[in-house]
Parts: sequence; C-alpha cells; structure tokens
Amino acid sequence: MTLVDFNDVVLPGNDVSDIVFKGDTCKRSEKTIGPGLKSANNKIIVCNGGVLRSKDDKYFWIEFSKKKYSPAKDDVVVGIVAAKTSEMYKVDIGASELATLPYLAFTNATKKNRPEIKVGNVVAAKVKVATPFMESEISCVEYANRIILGQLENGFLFNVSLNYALRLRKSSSKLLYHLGQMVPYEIVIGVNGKIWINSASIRTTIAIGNAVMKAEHLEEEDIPQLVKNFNKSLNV
Amino acid sequence: MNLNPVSDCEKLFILEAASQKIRLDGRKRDEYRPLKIEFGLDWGNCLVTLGCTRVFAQVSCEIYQPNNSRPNEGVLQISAELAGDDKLNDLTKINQVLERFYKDSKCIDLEALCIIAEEKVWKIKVDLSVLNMDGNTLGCCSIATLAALMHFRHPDVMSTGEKVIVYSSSERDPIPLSLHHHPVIVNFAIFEKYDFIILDPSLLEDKVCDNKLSICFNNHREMCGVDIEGCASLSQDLLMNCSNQAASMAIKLVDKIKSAIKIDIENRSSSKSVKGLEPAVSEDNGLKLCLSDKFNFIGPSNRENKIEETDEKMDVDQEVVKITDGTAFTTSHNNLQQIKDVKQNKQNDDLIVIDPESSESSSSDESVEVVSHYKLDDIRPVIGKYVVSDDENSDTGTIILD
Repeated sequence: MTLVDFNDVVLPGNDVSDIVFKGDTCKRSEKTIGPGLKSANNKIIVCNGGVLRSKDDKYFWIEFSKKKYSPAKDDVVVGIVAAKTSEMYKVDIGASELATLPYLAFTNATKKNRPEIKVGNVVAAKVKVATPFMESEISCVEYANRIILGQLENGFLFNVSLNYALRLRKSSSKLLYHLGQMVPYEIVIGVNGKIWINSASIRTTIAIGNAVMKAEHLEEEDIPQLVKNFNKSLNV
Repeated sequence: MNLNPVSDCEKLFILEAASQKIRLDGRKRDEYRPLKIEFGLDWGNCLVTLGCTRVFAQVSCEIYQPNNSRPNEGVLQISAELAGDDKLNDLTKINQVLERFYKDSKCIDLEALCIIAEEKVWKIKVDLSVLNMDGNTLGCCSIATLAALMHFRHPDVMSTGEKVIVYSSSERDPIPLSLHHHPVIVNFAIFEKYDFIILDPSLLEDKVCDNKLSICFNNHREMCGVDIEGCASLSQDLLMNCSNQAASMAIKLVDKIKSAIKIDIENRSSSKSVKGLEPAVSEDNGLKLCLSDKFNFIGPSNRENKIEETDEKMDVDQEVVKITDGTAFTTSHNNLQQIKDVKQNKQNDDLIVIDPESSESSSSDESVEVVSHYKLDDIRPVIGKYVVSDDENSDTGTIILD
C-alpha cells in the first residue's frame, strides 16, 4: 500500500484511514469526511479520484472534477425556473432532479403578495433541504442581508465546471478582483457551475465571460496577463 | 423533459447581441468554426469535429435484395442517432432531411451498386452518431456523411453466370463508391427582426433564432435541396443571398473534405502505420492521457499480420503526482500493450472449412455460401452460412454466393 499524503492524487479504492485518523488535535469522533470519501468497516475509502484535501486536520474531502451537481445544504446556486405549480416553482439547478422553490420562500412574500417570476427566469437561491431520496428544496429568503438572493434580470448565463466554480467562489480568487478594477460588473457564481454576469454593455459581458472561462486552466501568475489582454480587447 | 432549458437571460442577451450584430464567440456572421475531419482504420469511418459539435460516421455495406420498383439499383440508407441518450428524439428531423437531400440529389451512382438485377444489390448504410451537440448538428452530419461516403470502399464482386464471388480486400482492392457530385448542407440562422443572418449557428443561436435555413449545394454550385424551419417570412432577395453564400461555402467544405481524404490515403499507401481515430479521441479529453508509442494498430493497407487478431490489454501504471494548490491535473501513463494472438478461424464449429483448391467442387453443394473476413471488422452483415477457405500461409477469403 502506498502511503498518501494531503494534496496528493488518490484513486477510488484507496484506503486513507491512516492519514485521516492520524494526529491528536481532535478526537476520532469529531473528524468529518466530505464528498469523495466514504466510511466502511471502520475504514475510510476513497470513492472519487481526485486530490485529497483537509482543513484543520478535522475536515477531509476529495477535490475532484465532476459534471453533475449534487445538492448540499447551504449551497448558493443559480437556477432556471422550468415549471410553475400552484404552490411552488420547479427550478433546474443542474442536478438530477428539479428543485422546488415555494412561493413563500422569498423575502417579504406573503400568501397575497406573491413573487412575480415566470418560467425561464433565472434565480439565485440557497439550498435548504438536500437529501438523496427527495427533491431538494431551495429558498430565496435573505438572512440579515448577507447575500442577495432572488431573481436575476438581464445579463448572461453560462456554465463552468463545478470545481472551477468552487475555486472562483473563494475570496482569494484574484481574477474577479482584477477584472473589477477594469470594468464594473455584477456576478453571481452558483456552486452548481452556473455563472450569471451582468455589465453595462453586451461587449463587456461577453469579454468578462470569455475571460472567466479562459482562466480555468491558468496558473495564478498568468492572470494579470489575461486581464491585460482583456482590457485591450475592450478598447478595440 | 428538456434538461437544458434556455433561460430568458440568454434569450434576451442573444437577441440584443443580434441587434448589435455581435456573435457570442466573436465570429463574423459568415464564419465557420474550425472544422476537423479524421478518418479511422476502416474504410468509411470518420469523425468530424466542428467547434464542439462532434459526429462519428461509419459506412457499411451488405448484399441485399433490391426493391421491386427499382430492380437494378442499389440502396442507400442514412440514419443518425444521438449517442447514449435515445430519449431525445431530436434527430428525426435531421434523419429526414439527410435522407431526402442525399437520395434525391442522386449523388451516388446507385446503378453501379447492382450485382445481379432483381436479385442482389449492394446496400450502403451510413450510421451517424452524434457525440456532442453544439449547434449546426445537421451541417456537421452532412459533412460526416459525405466524407464517409467518399472514403468508403466496398469489396470487389464478380458474377460468373450463377455464382457471385466477393473478394476480400487482400485479393482485390476494394472499390470506392462512384459519386456523381458532392452535396453538402450549409446552415443558417436568421434573426428576422434585426436582419441578422448567420452561418454555422452555435447551440444557443440555434435555439433562439426565428428561422433555420438549410441549403444543400454541391461543388458545381448546383442546389440539391432547401429546408426551412421556423415562422418568419423570407424574402426572395434574402434567399438568393443565402444560397449564393451557401454555394461558395459548400465548395470550400468539399475541398476540405477532399484534401482530408487525400492526406489519409497518402498515409495509408506510405509505410506509416495508420493511427486511426486514437489520437483524435485522446487529444480532446479534458484529462490528457499519455499513450505510449507501442499503441499502434495495424492499418488496413499493411499486408503482414493479417491472420492475427489483435487483443489490447490495458495496463495502467499510475504515477501519483504531487499536486500543488490550484492545479488539478494528473498524468498517467497508459501502457497499452498489444498481445497478438493468432486465432485460427477454425474455432467456430459452424464453419465448414474448405481448401481454396476445392472451392470449385464445394460450390456444387447447394447451400454453400461464403462471406469472409475483411480485416478489422466484423460489423459487416453476412448472408448465408460461412465457409472459410483456410490456407495456413495466406488468408485468401473468397466469398461465393450462389
């Protein structure tokens, strides 16, 4: 058995119990495993090929590239309203099933004051219920104004890989900061890989979209160069 | 259920872009995406990539009883399907249009495919599988169809009175289809309100536009068919403009196909081993695999190693690679080893084995029909029982049909 370390590539079937249970900073019962890991017979087994990551020696997960979004609680997602029933919207969030969005799950919504959202509109929402056996439920209620949820108007929607969307959401992402210094724009990044962008003109929106898509496989050092090129293309 | 609905955002955005005459991918209105045509090991096997749209085509032939109405004509059949998912019946339309354009334009000399009138003709089947849909699927399918038909070769046949002998490719070189002309479909998307007509629409443009116009032209600037989908009314000038554009585009496309075929045939005739689709398929995978040089198929034009059927066994040597933050790439070496097993054709009990010398006498037996191996394929359908002439040194597979 080869010994794996954190930030190593692991493959499905690898046994990582040694490394997960190692260390005395916290008790065994407090350790948490995330996506890509599974516990069976007191062992921790990898079930998706990817990079093993950990946080504080307490949380463990595999960072892997996948195409289908599987909902998890408290994720911020961007979805397209696909259908309307008497009490709820059905929203396509890129998961295997459509998610439900009740009419009352909006800020300031009451039974009489219904939100005006049509089929085809785009919403940003938070996942409230996510179980493997039921349709997941999302909600647009904003708590303490921390994030702004609800309908997204105008702008443009495009898809990136899930892994990249997670990376972009990290506050350390330089790209969005640099782009913002060139041109003002709005962006919503859903964990489900859908990104909504709006800016003053169509050209800038397209340029920002292209820049975001192109930066997926770039190193952090190359990003200033990309932004420079981006600025040039805007001025032409 | 349509899994990828188009949101209002995208629709409005595309329409607004159309009003300013901008395309999302920065192309000009009459610009095609990069076209790539690659051929497989087999004759009539090709993979066409147009931007992100990918279509795989395979032509096959079988001996078939002709229709009563056309007793001395071969049969052409084109069928497209979506690889993997057959719930989305989006392709019936494409099937209809392709069949109509390619049959009605009489581009293939069907009479040349006749073996014995009223009894045996060649049936040419084009199977298209759409691997990825990213707009202009019909155009890509038509390029794949044409390229595969131009590339395809069917085995030589000789009829001597009552017998029909089908020669294997080792005995006589297979014959290409005779094509009178080369029709290819050019697709337009029309945004009527903004008077914006674009060539080679992407998936979003395809979904949002008012009209879809497909014009089929051959390389002699002759129109072979028009198909209009959508509700907007089109003026005469517009159609004329479009067809002029389509004609010049079709010539370019046909030239491209021809040059691709020329290169492929040169590769086959030279001593280089033909790699087939392997580089094309492994190239575009997000996670690139390094295939070792051992992985060489034996091309159809190479004469040696004919009896050998190749079995590939894949040994994956995985190297665990340190990954730094922000990179998510892994390298892996796949050593694909070819294990060459000489498999005699005798294994099958159903086969009656005869010597090539005695084939004359055996053909007097009433039910002896032979259809034999073309290398590397077992796709081609077969009529009657097998009789494989088995010589230890050469594999002359002669096919005798009564």
